[in-house]
Amino acid sequence: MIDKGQGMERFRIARALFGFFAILLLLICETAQARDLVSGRYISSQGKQIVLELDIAKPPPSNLIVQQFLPAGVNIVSSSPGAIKFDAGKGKAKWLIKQVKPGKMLFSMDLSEEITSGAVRAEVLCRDKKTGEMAEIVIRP
Amino acid sequence: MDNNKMTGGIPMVRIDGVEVRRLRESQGLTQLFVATIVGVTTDTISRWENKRYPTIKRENGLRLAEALQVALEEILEKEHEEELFPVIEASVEPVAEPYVEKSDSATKPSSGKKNIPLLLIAIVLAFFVIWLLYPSSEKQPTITAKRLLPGFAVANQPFPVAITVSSSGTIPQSLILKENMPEGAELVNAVPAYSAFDAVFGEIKWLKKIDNTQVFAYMVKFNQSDKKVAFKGTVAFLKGGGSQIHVRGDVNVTVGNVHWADADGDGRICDEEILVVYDVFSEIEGLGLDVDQVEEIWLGSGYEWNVEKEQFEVLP
Repeated sequence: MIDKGQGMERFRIARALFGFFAILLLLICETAQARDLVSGRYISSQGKQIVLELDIAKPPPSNLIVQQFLPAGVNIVSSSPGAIKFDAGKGKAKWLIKQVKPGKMLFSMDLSEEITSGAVRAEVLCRDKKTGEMAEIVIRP
Repeated sequence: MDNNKMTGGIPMVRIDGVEVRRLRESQGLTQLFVATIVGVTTDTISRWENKRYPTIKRENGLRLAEALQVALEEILEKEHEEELFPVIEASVEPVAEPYVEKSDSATKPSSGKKNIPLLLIAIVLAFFVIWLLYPSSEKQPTITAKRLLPGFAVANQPFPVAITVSSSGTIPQSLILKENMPEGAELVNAVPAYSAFDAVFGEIKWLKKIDNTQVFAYMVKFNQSDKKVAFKGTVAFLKGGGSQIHVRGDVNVTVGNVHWADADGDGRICDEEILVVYDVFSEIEGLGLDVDQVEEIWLGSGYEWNVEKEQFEVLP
């Protein structure tokens, strides 16, 4: 027969184990959230127009920095939304998106000359609100 | 009866000491906690509570009411208590008596000694049920406080300081955050508005009830360059009758010619650094941060501090 003290001890151990697994599950979910703050793909990655689509998770990061890398020397004739900075020599365009909302977001660029697929890539930088850690997501065609 | 009086030109009020004690005890506040908020000693609080109707400064009365989270009128001597029912009070017992009776009755139940074992069993059962239903974290909420402070600053240029206070409890937590700024610091702005500020000692005090997480932020500047200064702070809160923790996180700032947003001091503001500015500081409404200037520097290749013009020059 189990006395009261042993019973309580077992109950405490069971509760501690339950707590441990609950925390573990929470940590796994949090890690997944941090990694999946933003994902994306190229809808068009060749020719004279390229379109990048971002999928922003809920809750979203507060702000985003998106960098689009093009072959050096290729100019951006127009873009939507307008890039905040463009260095034609390095082929690097930059956006700072503030007060980000969850959902899809499109970045469309008209280029001065045609490019081949595989010549572009994008980098998205954001900060996890919960942990304060920076997350960098690289998107390729 | 007029509760507001003037003594030597100082507005005074008559408070109800018994009511003050009742309110304090019903909220589980210690005399130390209340004394800290009002800015008096625990002896003074004890004296006020033990007198029936002590006369105190109106300013202290307001702080006392704030500490007890009631309107000032609720702790003032009641007008009708003596005037409308003087006969009833006189025929039954003195006004202060019922409270003495109450405190006695808590330890000596009138129903007799035979009910004591039953009462004890009921109390033990109640505690057991509470222990089963609530996780220990709820019974003992954990308070954490972390300061986010730039590593660098420039003389006479305000920079932000943010302290994030978090409570693990599910019920709102009353606390006092005390932040001690270093010597030579000049407070520019505080969000939320501080409860008290001592300009001589550079001490900012917030009394606040927080639900989960609250950011306390302020803008500060130094008028001297070439020095390293240290910030410190504490959070006092109710946990087992009162507890205090130190604010963790960043402590030191070097006042020189590096912009506050330039965390690594490399003469430029990089992507990570501007995200911190936007994520942490720009969302604090009313702080008065010049985010445009930070963004302008971020867009350039770097910056330099012009000592003569007292401004940052962005490098193309």
